[in-house]
Amino acid sequence: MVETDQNRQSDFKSTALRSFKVIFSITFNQTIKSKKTIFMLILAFLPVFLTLYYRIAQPEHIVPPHLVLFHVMIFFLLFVSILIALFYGNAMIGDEVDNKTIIYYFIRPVQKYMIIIGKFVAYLAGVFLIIIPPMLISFLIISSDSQMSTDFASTVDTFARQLGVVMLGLTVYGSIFMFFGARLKHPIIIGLLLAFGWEKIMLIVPGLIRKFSVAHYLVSAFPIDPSMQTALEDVSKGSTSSPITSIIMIAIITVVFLGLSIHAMYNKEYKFE
Amino acid sequence: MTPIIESTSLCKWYSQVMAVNDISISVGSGVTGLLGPNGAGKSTLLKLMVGLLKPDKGEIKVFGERVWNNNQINQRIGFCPDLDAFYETMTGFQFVISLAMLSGYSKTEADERTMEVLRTVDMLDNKDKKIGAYSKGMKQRVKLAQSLIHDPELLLLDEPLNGMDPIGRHNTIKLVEQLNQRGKTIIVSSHILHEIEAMTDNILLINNGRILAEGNVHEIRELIDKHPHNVYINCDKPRLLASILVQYDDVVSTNLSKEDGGLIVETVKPDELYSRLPGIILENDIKVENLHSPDDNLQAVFKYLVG
Repeated sequence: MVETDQNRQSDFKSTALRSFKVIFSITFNQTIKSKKTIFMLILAFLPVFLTLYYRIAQPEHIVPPHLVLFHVMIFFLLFVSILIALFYGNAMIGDEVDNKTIIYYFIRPVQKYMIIIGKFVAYLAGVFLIIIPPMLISFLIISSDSQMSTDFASTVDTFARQLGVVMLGLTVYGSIFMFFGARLKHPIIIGLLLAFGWEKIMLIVPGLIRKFSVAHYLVSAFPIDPSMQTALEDVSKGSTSSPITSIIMIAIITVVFLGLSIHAMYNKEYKFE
Repeated sequence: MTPIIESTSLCKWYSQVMAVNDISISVGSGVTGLLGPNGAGKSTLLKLMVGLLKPDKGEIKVFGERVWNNNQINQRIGFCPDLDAFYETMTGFQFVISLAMLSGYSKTEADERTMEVLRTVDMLDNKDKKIGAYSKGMKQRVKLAQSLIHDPELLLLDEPLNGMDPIGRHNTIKLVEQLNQRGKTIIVSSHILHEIEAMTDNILLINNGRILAEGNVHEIRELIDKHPHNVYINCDKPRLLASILVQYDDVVSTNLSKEDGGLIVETVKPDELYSRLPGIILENDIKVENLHSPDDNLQAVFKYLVG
């Protein structure tokens, strides 16, 4: 009897793993080959062109390089990553529903939660591939400036942690927009209202209400060079949570929205008329 | 014998529209045709059977189990939807093998099964082309392939002959016969009577979400034959054609259309008219521009049946 249960568990694990791999593969390929990828790559590489221009056309260093680097990274955090998360996060389920291809998952012996997990991991792989190279290139272009701090190791360390927070941002926003795509009729519109309405407004209002936005926790967790403290206070309005609290909150929000996506998938009827 | 599919007072509505209205059926093994005009509720009923939709009232069971949110039962069901939905950047082979692996096959098994199934639906030569470049008939065959890939016991085929050329239709009809002989239970939907006739004698007649009749297709055919058909023929010699056709016993009347002068032939045996026409046209050098029958789908028949 124990052997049979073990075999069953082993069969279940191998089937679940196989389903995960196939869902990941289909989703990752569709993400990379989708037409929106060209637009997203242009958007992601925009700061690279700006930093190149800065390095070539700014011999007098009117704007110090560490300030440029800070603003470029904030631009990745609060604009580029949100837009990428919005379009790809929503597409995970939203595009499959619009194109009616989600039917093929539903008529297979695949657990619906595995559809969400497989697609979410594929989304992460795709968006990290899109955002990491331009961030790295922008960093290298600016940090090679002789006016940058001589403590290169510290600069690299700060950049690595900033990259980590941007990836956290893609993760948490991706989970939110994936839920929108799974549950709502007009997910892109609602997503835009959230991303460029609520999230941006919360960055300029003081007080406790800021804690009802993802952007607050991302800015709080965002490591910066101490020389940039004043610039950060301009963004955070002097109100931040601790980095540990922020990372925990980001993780909780991600898990909650993934759970809501799974719930939506089990309860919503997708009608294809 | 336990029915394969059983529904009790099954209802499904979309906003104000009752797509499936109090359907209680019991479907056993073999091939069953689900026959009804467009908008009759065929696709909705099939989607309820495969668990894509949840009943609003009543219940439906397949192999004795409820199907909504029951993904494990999908191992035993193959569904060919009427929708044109594909990953257009994938090749036919990639599409089918992915779904084979999602059905539980290992990579090696899926590879073998995919080649076999694509051979069965005559898509081996085009397997490495992107689906976006396929014709409608080729897409239909790939859809059929994905429904067969896991060798299910029950096949639900929603308008499987749509978009296929005559050879494709013939091959698909033969495939349904072969699958039936192998013990598969098949439900195939269509709005065209002779398509269903070619595959099975056993039909469910559906209209406005209700099952109007179930039983032998020949009885339905007799009902149709009692109801005169109108056939419209636009040609250069309508009066000559009318004078020839009116001599046949099955032609009830001929009239000229007031709008464009085309010939409207009323007949109780449309099949005989169609088989006779080519000879008449050739012998009398008549040029035919347009030929159709407003009664050739089921709408007119259903109007007649429902009254």
